[in-house]
Amino acid sequence: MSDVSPSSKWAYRFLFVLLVVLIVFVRLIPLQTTPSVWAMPDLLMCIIFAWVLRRPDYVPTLLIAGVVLTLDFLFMRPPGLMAGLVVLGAEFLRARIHTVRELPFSLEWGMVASVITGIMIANRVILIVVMSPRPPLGLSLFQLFVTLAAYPLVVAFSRYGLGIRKFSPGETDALGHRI
Amino acid sequence: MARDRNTHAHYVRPIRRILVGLLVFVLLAIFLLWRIDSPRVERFRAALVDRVVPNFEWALVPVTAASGMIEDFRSYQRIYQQNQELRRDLQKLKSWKEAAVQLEQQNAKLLALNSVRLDPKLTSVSGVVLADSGSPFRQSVLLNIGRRDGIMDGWATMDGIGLVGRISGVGKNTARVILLTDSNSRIPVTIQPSGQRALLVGDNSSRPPVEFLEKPEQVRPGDRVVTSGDGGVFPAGLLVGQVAKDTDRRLRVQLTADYERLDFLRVLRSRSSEAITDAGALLIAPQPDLTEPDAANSAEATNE
Repeated sequence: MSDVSPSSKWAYRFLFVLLVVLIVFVRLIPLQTTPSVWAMPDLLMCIIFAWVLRRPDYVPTLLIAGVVLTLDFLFMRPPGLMAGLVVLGAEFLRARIHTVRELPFSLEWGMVASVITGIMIANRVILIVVMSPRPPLGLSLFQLFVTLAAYPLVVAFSRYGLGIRKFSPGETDALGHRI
Repeated sequence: MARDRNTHAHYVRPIRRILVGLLVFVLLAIFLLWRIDSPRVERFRAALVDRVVPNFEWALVPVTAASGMIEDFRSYQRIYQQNQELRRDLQKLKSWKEAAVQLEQQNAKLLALNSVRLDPKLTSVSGVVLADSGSPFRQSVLLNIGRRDGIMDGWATMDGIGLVGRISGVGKNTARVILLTDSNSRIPVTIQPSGQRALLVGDNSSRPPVEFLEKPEQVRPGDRVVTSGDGGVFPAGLLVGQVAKDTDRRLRVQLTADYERLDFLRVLRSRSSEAITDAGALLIAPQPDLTEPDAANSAEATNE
């Protein structure tokens, strides 16, 4: 069984940051400077939620907040808004790990989908409330659907590529606590 | 369900909840701060981008170049069609060249007659595109020149021929160009030959619409669009593109700049022109209490 030693925990946190750097890099390459009619999925959100439901200790809340806030700044989004919403969504899922552990994947997917949809709606509503310019609705919807579609792929990649699986019931951490 | 971790969860969980609440509060406070005092936060953003993105430069530039090569290679596949097209274009261009040579001679004569100086202060700095905005919702690119090279906010940016956008956000080593296609871009333009003033309003599409046009019936597809220099935003007379009519009968602008391939951009150093504030002491004797209504009247007269 995979042990939850502190060193592997830090290795996975480092891996998370590496993945984020990769995402930033790919999205910043100036390949397409004309406005596009399609949007890339928000892979970072998928990774965060997939990992939170599997190994919450790999993605501590502070790390999530820091990473999404930095991306808010780099990607010219309103800073802090998306970060706050993603932290809230991650907390919501973190509190339901024990429920999700016993669910089949399709239900987990539905749960994550509703969280992501909620985040997108809240994002838009807040932008409307503060009368800030909003991205076009069609493009946002497109991005939402692609993100939802990408979630199983991200989970499969985490499971088979990186070896991040759900805790089995009764597993203990390094200090002997039940997780 | 009793779990043994609940023994310490009794006090850990409430504290954790408070801390997370505090974190979310701080994040949303940053967002509100940005909404209230946008320039300060945007300056911070420019500084952050300035620190982070040039670290990627060693990798961004080769990857971009490699993808450009792949794109070029793909175009070899339809080289025959291209050849045919180019031949046709060449035929057309020959006749245009003839016309251009004649016009150039005429122009040179007229310029010599008038001894016109075409804005001698307009010089430029060239930069390489480092990165784009990273989001499909914002249209901007990052240049590898910044405050170090004397770049200032608001300057016009062009590729070889046409206007591309304006500088918005300058770091020490980088500067962000808001493209004409971004939904925040508003550029005052003149449409030639009818000489009508309008606003080019970016809307996140590749052909931004023209708005606030007084007489749309005087504008035909194919008319040239140049910057008007209104409001001191840009130097006047920079080529923007050509008018095209959309399927919904809106007037849009086909941009001249090659947005498919933005790699080297020129930033025009524009200095604000001197503003004329007084009425002219020789013509009108200084009359402090009468100048205000006079100015208002004359402004109305010109509007009519």
